[in-house]
Amino acid sequence: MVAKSRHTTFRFWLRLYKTAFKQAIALKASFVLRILFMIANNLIMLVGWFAVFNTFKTINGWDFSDFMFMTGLVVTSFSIWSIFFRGAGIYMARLIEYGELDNYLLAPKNILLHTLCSRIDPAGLGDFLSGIILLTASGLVGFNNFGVLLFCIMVGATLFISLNIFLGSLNFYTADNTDLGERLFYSFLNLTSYPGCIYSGAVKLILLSLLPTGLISILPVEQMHKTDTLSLLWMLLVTLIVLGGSILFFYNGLKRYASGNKIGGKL
Amino acid sequence: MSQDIIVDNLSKTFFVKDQTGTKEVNAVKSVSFQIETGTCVAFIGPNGAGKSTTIKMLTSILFPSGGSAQILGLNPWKERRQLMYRIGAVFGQRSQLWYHLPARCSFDLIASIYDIPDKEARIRTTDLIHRFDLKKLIDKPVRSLSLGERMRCEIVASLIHEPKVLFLDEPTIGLDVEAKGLIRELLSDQVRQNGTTILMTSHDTGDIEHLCQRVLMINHGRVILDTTVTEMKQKYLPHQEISIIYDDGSEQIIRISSDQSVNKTIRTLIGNKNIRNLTVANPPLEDIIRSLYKKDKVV
Repeated sequence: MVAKSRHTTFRFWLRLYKTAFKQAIALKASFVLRILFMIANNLIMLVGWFAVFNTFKTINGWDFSDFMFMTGLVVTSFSIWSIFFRGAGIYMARLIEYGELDNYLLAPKNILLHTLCSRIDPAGLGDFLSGIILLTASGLVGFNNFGVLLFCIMVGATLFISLNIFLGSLNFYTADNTDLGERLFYSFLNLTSYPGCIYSGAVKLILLSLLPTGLISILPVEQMHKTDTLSLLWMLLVTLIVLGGSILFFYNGLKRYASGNKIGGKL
Repeated sequence: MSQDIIVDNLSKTFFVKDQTGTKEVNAVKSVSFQIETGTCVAFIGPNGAGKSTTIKMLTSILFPSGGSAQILGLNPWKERRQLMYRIGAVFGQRSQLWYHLPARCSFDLIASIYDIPDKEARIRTTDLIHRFDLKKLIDKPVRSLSLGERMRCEIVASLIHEPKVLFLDEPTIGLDVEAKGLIRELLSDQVRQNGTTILMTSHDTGDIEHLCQRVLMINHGRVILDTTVTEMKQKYLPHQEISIIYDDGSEQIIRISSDQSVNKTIRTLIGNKNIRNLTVANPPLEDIIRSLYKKDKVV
């Protein structure tokens, strides 16, 4: 019975992704262009920093390969959210704002997961490809620290997903926060686009706890050079707290959901 | 006969913010009713009466502020998942179909949502496609379907898991006469063949006359009438129209109120004249409903 239930659940998630992917590639030219431009965008961003590191060689102990690794990790983590859980974030905020969560509430499935997995962004594939290129090109990844790399990617992806659940759920509490959520997310993303080595003291402490962008942009580089179990446990703990908090924030908000009458469909 | 839907003192209050502060809006106030298995009930009322809010509470989309409800013996807010396997819902203004994909993709996904094995899903979908005459539409992207075609697909999507109770919120909104007729026919078959219980909101009196046995009228968040369609037509007749064609070719049309005697009026009108034709017509259902909205509290 349990095996059958697992099988049907797995079949559902697989078909949901298949459908979301078909919808994403329904307009083929737009699909290909978005992937290509995302790769170009990520690589262009490196040009400026290449010039900086070419001049100064190291910044607080970081060289260009560290920065490439950090960018690769951020982009790969971002792509996991983008490809598999893009329903979190703006899409969720709009569903709540326009009262379109009804379709998900009418399905006998986990509402949060169903919403998260109902949307994929083709540009995420571009991020994923450029992330893998950067991680490989950094030269920091080897057999000895490959497990640490996977752990860091999972932490980064979970933080992106959690943050987007939190920001998407803001509309449950006060109306018309979609733009605000989007801006806050890009502010968070901004913090991960500078070399983690420039932060120190109280700012670094905040970035490793309250505003945990440091778990994506600071600690992983350090861990690739020298693995420290305590730091990995800290990353895991903070990530689980952020994930748990965002899930609670969503379900608490769901009780306030007011639906709506906007005419529309699953775009 | 068992009761599929039991609603007891259900209420819903929204807190709406405007320039003057937060206001309390009682959208539904102590609504109670029961619906027997296999019946089709029209849930009608003017805009803002509380129809959609009630349906959204019964389908677990909204939490109530008070009262209780049981659908097929299940509590919509505590047993949401079990209930969803057994009920279906169509909101005329909403779509459960994926816009850029053919409806077939949405049907396949919906079958997975309800854990229906592939083989079984194929049989059910094929049957519904045949019954709803969707063969030519099923592989076209939903965005290219007309409203009527899309609505037929929406109804099929809500029937794939063979729900025992179907909630329809304005299923014929915006459709032309032909599309409306087809959907009514198909829903009527569904009730007759499968014993599905339907609670339906509609502003179209044709839906009520063709599909429903019973009418629940709601206004200002309260049930103001609960009767059969036949009784509503007879008991709440606001007026009747007497039309007389005399032998000399002249015509006379007169409208009398429901408390006036038809017999006495005709005698007075005719007098000693000879008549060629005489008809006494009831007003359209729309007029009856409009007069009830005006009277408001009738029960």
